[in-house]
Amino acid sequence: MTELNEKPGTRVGRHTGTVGPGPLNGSMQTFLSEVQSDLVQGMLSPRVLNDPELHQVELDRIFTKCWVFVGHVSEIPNNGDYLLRYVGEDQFILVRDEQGEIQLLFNSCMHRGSPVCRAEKGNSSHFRCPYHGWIYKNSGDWNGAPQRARAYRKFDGADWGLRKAPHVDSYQGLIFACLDPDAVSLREYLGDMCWYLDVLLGLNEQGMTTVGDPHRWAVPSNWKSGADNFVGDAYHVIALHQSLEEIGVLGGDVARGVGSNFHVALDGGHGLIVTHMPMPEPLGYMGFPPEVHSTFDLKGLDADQRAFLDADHGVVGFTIFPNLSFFRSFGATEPGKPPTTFTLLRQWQPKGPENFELWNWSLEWKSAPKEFNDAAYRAGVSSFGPSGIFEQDDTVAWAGGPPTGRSVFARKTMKFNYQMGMEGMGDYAIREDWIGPGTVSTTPWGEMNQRRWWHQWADRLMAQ
Amino acid sequence: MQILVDRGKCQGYGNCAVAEPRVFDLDENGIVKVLVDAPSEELRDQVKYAVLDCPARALHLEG
Repeated sequence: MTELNEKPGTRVGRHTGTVGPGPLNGSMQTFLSEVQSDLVQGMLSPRVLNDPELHQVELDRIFTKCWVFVGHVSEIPNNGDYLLRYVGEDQFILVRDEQGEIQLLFNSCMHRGSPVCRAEKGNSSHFRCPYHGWIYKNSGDWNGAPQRARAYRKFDGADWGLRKAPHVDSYQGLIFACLDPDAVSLREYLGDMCWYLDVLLGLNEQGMTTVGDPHRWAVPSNWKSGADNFVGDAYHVIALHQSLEEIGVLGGDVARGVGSNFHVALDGGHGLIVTHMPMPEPLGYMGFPPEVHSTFDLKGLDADQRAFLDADHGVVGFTIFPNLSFFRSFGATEPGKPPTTFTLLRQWQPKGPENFELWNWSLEWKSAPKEFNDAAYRAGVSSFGPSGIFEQDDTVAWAGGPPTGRSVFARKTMKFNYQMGMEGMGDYAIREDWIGPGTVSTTPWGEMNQRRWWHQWADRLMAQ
Repeated sequence: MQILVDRGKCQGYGNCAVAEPRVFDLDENGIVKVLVDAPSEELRDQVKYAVLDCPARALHLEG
């Protein structure tokens, strides 16, 4: 039987996907070339913080090409556990399927595009579209449609499963996905960051786990401002977060603390702010107290990684390109109380060029006593999160990006200064005697990491 | 409690599998597959709901 308006012999089609980014137009190419040459001189156009066209190019050439963080393994421990997560601005279902494999399924029915999953989290063996009832297994495979025997006799279900990320993998509990079928492996993408993830998250076999669900809130700023800050900006702490010192929450000498930081820049645009802070007795690695330190078992680390810890090093923050950051430092649960080391994962999720959603996960050691973990959680959410005092400072400052970025006047007359620490500026130099991988600075008073992050950004947007 | 299923009537709506995946599943053709013929009493409410929810009236509950 053929429908009236179809030509005889019409066959059912198969969807064939297209890969690869669309072409850049000439004016965009010219602008990005300028960005590249500006960066060499330590300058950056404000346009990068608010431009709808540029934003589309980012979604196309960064978020569909890079490995992007989508969750922590502890968030989906059982088969069927799922969460709604984002790569760029696209909503996906992160799910552990019936075989125990982690999948990242595009939350959009192959029939009419309605979301097949309407809950933020849960457990399900199947996802069924509410519109017409098409059903998918939690592996993404097509599993049926109502009235199939009457309506879809020639149908090959193998072609019509949910679209999914071709690559999903994890490292030290962090799950990343990549939408590019031709991508390098996650290990290769993270490169030397793996070395640092080991010393931060792999201090024993049990590892770290998320505490509850991530806090999420809207920030009127461009997502790149968060990535830029966490990849290397130790400079802002003394000025912007001074009030924390004043009210006694930091309980120490902030300037001296920041002064002991330095940068580690890695290939791929990843970068860290490393600390060198000898801890008063009886505190252990990175300020963890004895009841936590004693649960660490470094047998998964190599000699250099152990030397890093033994030399009183830690990491206060990092950014994995493009939009995952990390924070580990101290905070008091209330003014006057002793500081507690807490650990956060932070993600800058784009929502158009002038807004992002900030996602904040608290992490705790599975091996640590509950009392310590509770205090660390309170210290963490008091510092970062919708009510966090660091957060309020940072996000107010970052909100300056979009109005400047869209200003015609600013685009004609301004370049941001990214020259701190460039040659002749000061004593910011490259250290040769470093025990770990990466290019390492002598002081925090430079912007090598930020410039390299932006170079990576521009290079990826320009890539053929 | 015993579940009776008429697979010939099933039209693959999948409501049952969504309502109670511990008892109902779908086969490779999207047709109902009962995993447990006589589910335990604590699942009664969910199973009852799944049976009532079948638009093709392919499921019945006895006992």
